[in-house]
Amino acid sequence: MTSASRESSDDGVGQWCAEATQVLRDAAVRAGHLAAAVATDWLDDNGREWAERMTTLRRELADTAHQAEELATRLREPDGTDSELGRAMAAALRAASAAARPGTGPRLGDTSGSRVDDEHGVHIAQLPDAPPS
Amino acid sequence: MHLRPDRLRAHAADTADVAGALEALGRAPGPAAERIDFALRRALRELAEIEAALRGAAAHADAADQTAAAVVARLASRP
Repeated sequence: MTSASRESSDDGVGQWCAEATQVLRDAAVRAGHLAAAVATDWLDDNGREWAERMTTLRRELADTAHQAEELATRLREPDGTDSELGRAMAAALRAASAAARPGTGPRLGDTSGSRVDDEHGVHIAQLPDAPPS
Repeated sequence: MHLRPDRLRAHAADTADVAGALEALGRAPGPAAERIDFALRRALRELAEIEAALRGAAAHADAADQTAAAVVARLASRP
């Protein structure tokens, strides 16, 4: 599968998952209402059993909705940098790298995957040495 | 225990409606969503069983009501 066709397929799956998330959530809510209604209107052991099964189904539908939402999010953000947090961190790292000047304090690698050296990475602020007295 | 067949049938219809909404999603378009698709199919099977149980209970309650009504009618017709 080529990169383009994989992306297209992921788009389709992501779209389907986003739609499934909403439908599954609605279904979970309705299953919860139905469980309560069945428990009220079918007052014997059989009714209780089926109401419990409906309650279990409600939980499973809610879990599946959550999984679908997570998958839709993951497919939308394949490199993990599209999220708000990811963007904010990337911007902070760029700003820190740009602002870094030869000075005091250690440097850490950034997310670029470049080899860490004195010229790359985040500059950690540190108090300068005390002036000689 | 007296059951309300009309209400059980209404719940069965709601159950079928929920299943219809899930069914309308169709199959997952790719293997990435296989787990979700599997969970969906399982939920559809469970909904079908619940619907059948509700309809069965409603039919059973109807039959019990008819039997009771026939007994009452027979008793009432005795001289």
